[in-house]
Amino acid sequence: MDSKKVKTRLKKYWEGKSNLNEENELKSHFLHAPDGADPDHEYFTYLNKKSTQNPLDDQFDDEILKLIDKNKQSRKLKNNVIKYWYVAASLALVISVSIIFKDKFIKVNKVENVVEMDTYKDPDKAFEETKRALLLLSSKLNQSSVYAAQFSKFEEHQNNLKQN
Amino acid sequence: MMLETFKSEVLPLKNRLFRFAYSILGDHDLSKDVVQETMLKVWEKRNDLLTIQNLEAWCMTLTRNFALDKMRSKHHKTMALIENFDKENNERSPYQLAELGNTLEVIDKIVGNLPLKQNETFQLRDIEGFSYQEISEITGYNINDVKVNIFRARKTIRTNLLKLNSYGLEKSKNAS
Repeated sequence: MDSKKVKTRLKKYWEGKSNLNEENELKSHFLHAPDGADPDHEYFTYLNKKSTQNPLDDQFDDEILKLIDKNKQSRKLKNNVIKYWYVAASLALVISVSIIFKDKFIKVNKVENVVEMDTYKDPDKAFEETKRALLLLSSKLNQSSVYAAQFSKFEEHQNNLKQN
Repeated sequence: MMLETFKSEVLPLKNRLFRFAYSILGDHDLSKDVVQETMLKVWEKRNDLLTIQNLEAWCMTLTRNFALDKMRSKHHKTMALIENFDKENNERSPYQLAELGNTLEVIDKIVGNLPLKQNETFQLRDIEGFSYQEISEITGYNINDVKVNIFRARKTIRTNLLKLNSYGLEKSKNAS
């Protein structure tokens, strides 16, 4: 780039009117220009130096890749733990459901067994047994009515005493 | 995204990301942490990368966010940059500039003292070579704001350099 063109580009640059290509041309010009003490030269030397500074090396890449690997493993572990939790929860559910069903089934069976024990297959025998049970019940009721009559007598006397 | 793609497309961005983080934080270790966090985030989001048009700009945005978070949470010394958002004039006397060291170190100091907006837009344009549109996407500032801040940053650096230069010439004249 000739000096006239450089001057024009610099003017545009400092006025904030240059585009990226023109700015890159200026940087490239000063990168290859012989050393100078003018402020523009020093300024563009600074820009060139700064834009090529590489403080992070391959060791940084290794660190990142290790961290990614660690991240992967911990995620795997986390996923496995979640899977185990799912399995444990499902097992617990199955066990509790089976226990509930088993209890209900046993109760029903017990009731059925009682009914079967008390059922007479012979209707005559069943009739006789029912009759016997009812007679027993009525005799007990008669006994209680005697006691009840005594109570009513007691109440009658009590009322008489109160009136006197 | 497969590991091989990550190695070939994302890992090579590490130094650009580092330079940008460093321009915000001014601390080597913190900037390295920021780049590490960015890389891991990209890996974490690898399945969503198909929807991202400009991977490099997206990585820069992540880096910027992590760096700003670090700056805020750690009350880092560059917090002063945020406080100086509206600071327009950070010019120094030629004597102060000459005290700072050689010219490249002086420019480094001037850039380091720019307000945050100017600093990051200057870094993205003049050091990393991003377009105004990309800078706008990375930082969230509108394009005009980006242009104005780059212009102001360049102007501040140039003014200080010219002062330093004229001071040097004067000094050499007096010596002879």
